[in-house]
Amino acid sequence: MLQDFLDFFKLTGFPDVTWQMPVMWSVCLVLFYLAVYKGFEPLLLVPIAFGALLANLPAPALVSEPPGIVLSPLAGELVEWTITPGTHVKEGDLLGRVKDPDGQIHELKAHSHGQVTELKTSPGEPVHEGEELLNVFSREPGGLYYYISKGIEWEIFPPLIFLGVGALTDFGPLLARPITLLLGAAAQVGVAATFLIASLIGFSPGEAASIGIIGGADGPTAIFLSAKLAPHLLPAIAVAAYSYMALVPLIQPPIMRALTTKKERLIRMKSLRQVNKLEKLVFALVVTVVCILLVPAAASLIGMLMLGNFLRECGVTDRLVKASQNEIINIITIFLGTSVGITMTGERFLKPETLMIIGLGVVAFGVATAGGVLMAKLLNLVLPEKINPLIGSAGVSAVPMAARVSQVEGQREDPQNFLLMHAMGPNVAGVIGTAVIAGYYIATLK
Amino acid sequence: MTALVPLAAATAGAEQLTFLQNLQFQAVGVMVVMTSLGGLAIVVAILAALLAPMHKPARAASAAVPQAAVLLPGEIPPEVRAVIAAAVHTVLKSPHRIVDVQPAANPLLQAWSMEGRRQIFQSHSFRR
Repeated sequence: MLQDFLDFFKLTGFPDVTWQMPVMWSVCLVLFYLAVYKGFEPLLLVPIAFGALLANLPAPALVSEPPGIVLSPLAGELVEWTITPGTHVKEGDLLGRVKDPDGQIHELKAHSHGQVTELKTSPGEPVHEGEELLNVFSREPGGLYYYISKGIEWEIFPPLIFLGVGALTDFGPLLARPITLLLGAAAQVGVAATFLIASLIGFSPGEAASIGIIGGADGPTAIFLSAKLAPHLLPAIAVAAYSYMALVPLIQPPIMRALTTKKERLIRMKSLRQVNKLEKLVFALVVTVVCILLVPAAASLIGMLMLGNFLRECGVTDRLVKASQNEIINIITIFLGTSVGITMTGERFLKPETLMIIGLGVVAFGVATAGGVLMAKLLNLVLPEKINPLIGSAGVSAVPMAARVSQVEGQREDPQNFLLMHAMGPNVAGVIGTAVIAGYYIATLK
Repeated sequence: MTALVPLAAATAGAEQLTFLQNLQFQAVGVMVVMTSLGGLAIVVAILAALLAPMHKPARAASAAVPQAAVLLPGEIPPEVRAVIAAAVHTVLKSPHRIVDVQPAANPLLQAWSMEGRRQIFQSHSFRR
């Protein structure tokens, strides 16, 4: 009976627990604590942390690929097979070796469990990237998160989140004072500066772009860009982006105060004019056309953002607006968060690069904040009607937290000064600006 | 900026850029963003000049019908005021007069409602 019990123990997950797993459980606990008790972006951090917990339990079936045809990962020559038709393989088993044109040998490993039914190439034959090499058969269909994670891999989730963001965003303050678009643009300096620093440290251009985009303070765009350019850094980038968005009220005020004088912080801005429906509708169409013409790579983000906004402003699609603002964005948020979390395996996350990314994230946020504030000061040199530079910091997206920070900082100096609606202009401009610079990086680096 | 195409080729090959190449790459990126959003600002300003005059405030219908008293955001409902007055009367006993009733929360936290109220006040002009 004892032997039966011991045999059963071998079937449980305990023997497969690695040292990284308990470490990652504690990382998950920290994320849960920040989300649940400190209120750090709980809508995203809770699903991310839960996904990370699932990823660090011995449950490979949750993410396993479905069996099928195995493709060659590179062009070269097939050196040997280590299996024969009829061999049963499991995920990670060695299937064979491929030599690239430089003579380097690469191992070919199984992505799924199953039985090898057919070898389509013989050793010594040349192979092309993407060529069918062998077939693995099994009746297992693949894990739940293999399919859900396709939403990130195929770039479906971030644009759908943008649909909801568009349906929730009022571009009225931006239209009432279009010059604030420049504040949103200036904040993207943080993205560029962090790219530069990350490159100097040794990150590749794709990795540096994905790290830099944290400064845009726009989670879906950060996920969209890193899924394209540096998928292996996705978990660290997503965690850094969402954690720092929650820390906006702590990161921004010291920079805002350091870069402005008391006189500047006391500037009272004239009330915004009322913007009519036609202006808002035309704006949605103009942004769609202009931005997609300039940066086609950002088409899915900008297109969905403006679709959501057009639905909101046209006034005749109430049901669609409600679906975009609630059901769609909520369901996608759960899938997006857990799909990001499921990539946070110990092997991928517990690396020195993660700490570097988290450090560079602060730099990105700080420079972006400074960029917006300094642009506002620059504009004040030429504009007859002065802008309170405190609204420049709202150029980092983080809607509406960054605008709220401008309001609170303004009221510290003058309790009767209301900057909130003025700050919403650069705040929503930042969303467009981040999508544009992401499109630039994708177009040039992919 | 003629070097952008070879630069893009270098970056696409995941080669490490030199500092100057990288600086140029970032400068072009910032220029793309500034041009896009700056261009949009100009288009929006032109749109506003063309479309804003078309806006006619719909006031005739609403002016004809007297509106029921609507509570402003953050305003205390009359029944709550009555309860507060009764509570004060019960506790104080001695002659007193309630001058004002204010929410106890930190005014900094009511920024949204204060901004809304300010906008409503600003949208009406006094008749002289």
